[in-house]
Amino acid sequence: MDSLMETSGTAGLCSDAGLNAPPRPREIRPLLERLLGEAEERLQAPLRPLSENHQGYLETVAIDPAGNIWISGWIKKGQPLEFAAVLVDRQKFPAAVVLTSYDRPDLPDDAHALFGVILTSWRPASTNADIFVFFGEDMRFYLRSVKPLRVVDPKAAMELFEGVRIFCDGTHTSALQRMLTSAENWLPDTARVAGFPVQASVDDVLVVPGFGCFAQGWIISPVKRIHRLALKLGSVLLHAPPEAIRQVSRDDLRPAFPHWEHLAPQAGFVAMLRGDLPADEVVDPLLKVVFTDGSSVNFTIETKALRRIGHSAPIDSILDLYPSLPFEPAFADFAAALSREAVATLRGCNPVRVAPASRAAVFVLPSDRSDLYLLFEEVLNASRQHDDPPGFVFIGRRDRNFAEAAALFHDLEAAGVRGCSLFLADDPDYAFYELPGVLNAVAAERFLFAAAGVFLTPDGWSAALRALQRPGGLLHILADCQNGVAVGRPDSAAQCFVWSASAFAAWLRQAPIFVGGFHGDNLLLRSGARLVVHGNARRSIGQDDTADRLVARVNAQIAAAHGGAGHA
Amino acid sequence: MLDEASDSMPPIIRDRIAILSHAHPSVSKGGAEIAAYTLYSGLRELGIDALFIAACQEADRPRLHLGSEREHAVFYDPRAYDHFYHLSAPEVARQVARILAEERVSVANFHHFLFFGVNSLREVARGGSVRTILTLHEFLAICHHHGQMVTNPARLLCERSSPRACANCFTAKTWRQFDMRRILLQQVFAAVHGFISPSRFLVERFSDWGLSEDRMEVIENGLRHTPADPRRQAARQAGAPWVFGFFGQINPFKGVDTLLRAAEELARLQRAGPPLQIRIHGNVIGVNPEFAERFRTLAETLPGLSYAGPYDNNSVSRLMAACDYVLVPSTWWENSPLVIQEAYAARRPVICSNIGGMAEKVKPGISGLHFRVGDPLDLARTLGLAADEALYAKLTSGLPRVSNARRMARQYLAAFRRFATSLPDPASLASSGRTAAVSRRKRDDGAESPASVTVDYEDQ
Repeated sequence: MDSLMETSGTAGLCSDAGLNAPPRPREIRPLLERLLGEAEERLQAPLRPLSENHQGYLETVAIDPAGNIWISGWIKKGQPLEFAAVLVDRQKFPAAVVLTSYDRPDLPDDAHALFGVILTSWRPASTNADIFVFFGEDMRFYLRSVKPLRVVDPKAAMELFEGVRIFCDGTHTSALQRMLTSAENWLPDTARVAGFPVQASVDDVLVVPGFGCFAQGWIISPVKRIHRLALKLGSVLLHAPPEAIRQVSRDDLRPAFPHWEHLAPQAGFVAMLRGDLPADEVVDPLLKVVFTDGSSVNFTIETKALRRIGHSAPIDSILDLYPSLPFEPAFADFAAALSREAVATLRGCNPVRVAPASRAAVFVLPSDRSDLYLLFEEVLNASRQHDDPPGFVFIGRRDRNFAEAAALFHDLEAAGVRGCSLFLADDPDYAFYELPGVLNAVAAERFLFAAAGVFLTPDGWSAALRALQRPGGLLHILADCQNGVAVGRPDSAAQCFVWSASAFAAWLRQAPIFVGGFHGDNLLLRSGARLVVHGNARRSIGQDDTADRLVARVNAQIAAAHGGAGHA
Repeated sequence: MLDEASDSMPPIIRDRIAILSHAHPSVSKGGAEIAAYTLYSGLRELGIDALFIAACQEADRPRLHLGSEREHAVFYDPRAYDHFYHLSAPEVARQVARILAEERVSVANFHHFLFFGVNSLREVARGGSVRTILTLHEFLAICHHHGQMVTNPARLLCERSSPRACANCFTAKTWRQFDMRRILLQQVFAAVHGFISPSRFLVERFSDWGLSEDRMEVIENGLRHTPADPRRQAARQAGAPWVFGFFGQINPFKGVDTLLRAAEELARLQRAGPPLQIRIHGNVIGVNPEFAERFRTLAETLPGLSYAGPYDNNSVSRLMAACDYVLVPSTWWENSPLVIQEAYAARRPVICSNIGGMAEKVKPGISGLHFRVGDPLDLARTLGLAADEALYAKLTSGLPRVSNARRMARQYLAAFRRFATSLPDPASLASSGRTAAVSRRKRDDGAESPASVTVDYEDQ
């Protein structure tokens, strides 16, 4: 780390500085607080807005995310640029005012423009109100608001300051500038008023509600050393401890910054930022780069950089950014957050057609159109070959194949197959967890469940239909068949089984939700039910097992947290 | 394989026979539908109560012309068909079963499962009262690439299928899906009473795939129309240019590219003796613009190469008679190209690629010559060899007799009779954990029908 601190202008990060910023000299916060104290003592002073005591106007007011009130306007020359004040807006408010001034061509010679900050509990309630700011030894001087008072976006106030900063007199200019760039201030794009060179960009933010986010980007800071990073989404602040930040070489920046090309090897960063992030706060992203001298600069992140894990970005994509995640202490929290996200996706299955069936064969419709045709043909064939077939329940997804699935469902009914039901799920991958609702809707007492891409062999159909006829709590696992060889191992048991609906519902109430819907047997084999395994009973088709590496680890973590390793 | 003696076997006259084709010849002129209709015509000529049932798209209704009340159509929506597992909408299978039931058909000979769907075969077999026989015209059950057994997209010859190899050709499907496809088709085929193929080559390919050869019969496709006096068409004027005719769709799969390059080679060689002329007949269909342009340019500029334009099937005999040889330079296996039978009927030897059904149907040195598939230099060399009066005389005298509709029908009837006593493949049934019991069905008049069997399945 010493080498990083010594490197001139590097984007190196000082991990030894800890999370708390070092003291920053020449802050105006102590001055404001002192002046505010004086103002509170003078609240009872009589206040009369005599015309001869009118010293200027407030023209604009802006409130920044940190709650600071920035003002602009003009004031007669000779008046102090820092004072305790009483602000009157239908009632009195103590206030502390710190200003800087500059010449403005529209003003008379005896006046100059002002820009500054007011520390007060007052907030503008109406733009047409008469607002007075009394100041001076006996509070006889005052500034008055224009009507209507312009309440502007803090970005506009900052742009105004950026435009006049070099023309301001030096009394409080630098201090105000530092206040704009302080760690507490989340005004966007403050690099323009920072007074020192710094540029940054965030290329990708992978958001995990309930956990935080993973961000990657670059920072070029030729003058100041970087202390830490923070990211704001909505009203939530996310922080990256130093050990969760990685430096990455960005040779692609050399052409863009030829004067600072030696910073390229350390310019890139990947960071894991933690915070309790609700899903509805994933808005208005801002990056804060905090420097070792306490100053900071904020950068707006383009919203197109935002991706939500498990929604617009596959979970596995985190490993491309942050490959060490499965081995870090935060991994347990990450897994728990994903499991909670999975729970949030469970919104029940919408019934399209419901037919009562005390014995139900539930099939999740495959996403492949050809497999869809095959499933309905196999169901029709099975219904023809067996006396007293069960009711057939299909769970589909809202995709382009659903219309075709509905047509095939109708054809199945037209072929005389009774007791058919059709449901729509937002995410059929989690159909296993939606089963109680579906089974309740069709009033099933016993059921067969077959996940998407699972097809029963002739032996499997026979075993399943016999198991459906058999009452009791025996759990029948219909195991895979490979190349005609019976496979008796209960791998992926949760993808095809027969059980009692009430026993399953009772077990599911305490079972964990696995990301993606399945993790081996989903701990079904630890349900405590007596098992029967039928080999050579099913074939699983669909994409080859290129299971998301991270999902597998997450689910293993979830299983471990639940006290079971499961069969993965 | 049935021999000439089978021609004199009496036909079964108690069974009502349905010939099912994936298209009607009034709508489509492909080899399979023409062969199926020829068989139907032959059965009718023999006095057999035969039906012809064709699958037809709704959109083709205006073009469909059913020749008599014995011809039926099963209408389908091409959008409601899966071309991977070959499954139709259940309504199509019900249409097929309904027609067979209403017409009291006892033997259903499918000449394709395309558009009917293998589920139609299953539906018919499920009824138990109809013997199903499937005539295989290509390798669609084995190969998803149009049933040609060439790789996709390189179009290399595929020697043997496997789920993993097939998944390499079609990366949008998994090897497990291809395995499922094989299992499904083999399960459906297990309930079929027998299979007929026009070539031994196809029988061997399906045997490799898992179909028992005991359940397969080789019967050549017959021609519906044959020249009245084939001997008259064999005459050739000595010293006249040697004319090699190509008949068919003009595209690279039919070997036309090889032909064009052979023509270029021949033009480059300045050969002594009567000139060699390659005459191409057919439509330029389904080719990229570059190929079409090359074809047109060469046909117009290359000496010894000419394009005779499209032709009507009724004219093929006359057009072939105007050639000395018929060329079949296909770059895929082929099964039993109709053009070879047509060439023999016109008493013309065939020069073909040395693979697949072509090589089986053309005996080198007897009924024609082979050249190395896709090799234009070897084709050019072979054309040079063929331009020999003595060899030509030998080859024209060695041409086999061509089957006609009646002969084809007799051979099929003998096969139907043989398959009447066969059961669905017991090996397939055993692997599915089911057993089969056979019982004889009584007809409506109470008499036992010896040629009919029903199969009852019992779970183990």
